Amino acid sequence: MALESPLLQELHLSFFAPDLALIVVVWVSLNMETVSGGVTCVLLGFLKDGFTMVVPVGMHMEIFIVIFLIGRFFSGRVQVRGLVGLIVTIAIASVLASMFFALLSLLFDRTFGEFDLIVKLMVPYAAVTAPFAPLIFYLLDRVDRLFHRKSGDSIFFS
Amino acid sequence: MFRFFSRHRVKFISFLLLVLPLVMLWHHGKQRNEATVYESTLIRIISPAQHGVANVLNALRLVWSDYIWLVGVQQENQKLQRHNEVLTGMAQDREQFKKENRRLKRLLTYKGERPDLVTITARVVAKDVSPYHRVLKIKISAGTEHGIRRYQPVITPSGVVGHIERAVGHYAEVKLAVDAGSRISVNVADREIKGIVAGSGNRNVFAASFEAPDPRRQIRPGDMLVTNGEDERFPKGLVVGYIPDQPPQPEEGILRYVVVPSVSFSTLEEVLVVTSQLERPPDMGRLP
Repeated sequence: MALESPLLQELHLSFFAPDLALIVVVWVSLNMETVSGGVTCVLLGFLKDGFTMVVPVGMHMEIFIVIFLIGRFFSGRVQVRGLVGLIVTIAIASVLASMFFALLSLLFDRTFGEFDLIVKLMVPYAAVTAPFAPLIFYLLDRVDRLFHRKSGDSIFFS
Repeated sequence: MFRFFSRHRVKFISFLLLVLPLVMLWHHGKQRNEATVYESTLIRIISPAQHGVANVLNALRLVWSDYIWLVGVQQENQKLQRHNEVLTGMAQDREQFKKENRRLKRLLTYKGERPDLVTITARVVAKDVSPYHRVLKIKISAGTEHGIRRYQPVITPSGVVGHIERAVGHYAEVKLAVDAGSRISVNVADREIKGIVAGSGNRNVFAASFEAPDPRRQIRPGDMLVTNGEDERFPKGLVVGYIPDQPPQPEEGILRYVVVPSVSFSTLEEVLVVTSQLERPPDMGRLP
């Protein structure tokens, strides 16, 4: 997240920033327990709020914990298999996150008034974020494998 | 109670994790002027990280652009060099114009100071130079077509340059005051001492000599020699040169002093040719 903002600004791609933290949240929801995963996601949201600056504190905390809980709910029912499945999952999560963002902004952010922009960018934003999912999942699986014995449930490691 | 909490621990914590951000969001969503504790903490945590990353990226960008990605630098360099040459030329021209302007202003001022002298301004077009870089003879851009005649005095605001030796068409040659054969009748300024300044003809240095017929009258270093008009060639009151701090040489009953010319012959650019002298100079009035 620290790299994201200056790097994209350097490359003149500020409008096409993938939401890497969201991919991490989905990975956490599929791989960690509810309590530890929930706390991780709230902390991640807290950091994301700090880097985003323009949104009130709590916005990404709430979005990430909701996405995490939804992910936890579905993780026991639906199995994510293959790269395409992963990319589609992240794209859906991204669209959901944007919808929550709009909803929470409507409810809590009195200065916000760019709903049109959110609706317009919802799908492109998901399209930019989703392709990074395999890479982030691969890296997190590698890191996780260093500390834990994998259960054989990973997309990349079995 | 504890057992109930323990049994529904996950639900409780999930509920708390859901509600806590909403409370923060509600608290921070209100319009405020000051940052809250959470915002201040976030800024303290995140700003150094962003600053550090921005610095690293900036350094990488500089390394990339200054040392690796140098495509087109040579063409740009050549273009800038050409541009630089053009600008240098323009600056030099400007400097030349400034200098010329200063010299012409000085000539104009001098003309105002000597309204009795009818002069023609001419540009030095050629200089005959010795191997020791001494100017032996100059050619000027005014000749018989402009009314220039032989023996007419050539001067500058600094003093006497010499006289016209030959004039043809639009050009004339000037014999310098330091050339052999040049003799100018002079007075020591502010003192009643007469004498002749004779050109030394030395090809290596600009020098003339002052022949003082009366050895009893002492000439002092720094004395200025000005024309007295008695040779009927040079108008009265033009500076010819100065006496340097050198002892005179006795020669056949006279004392011969070295004279340093008042005019710098090697840097001459414009001169005035005195075509005639008016008995009663016109009233020029006061310049504004």
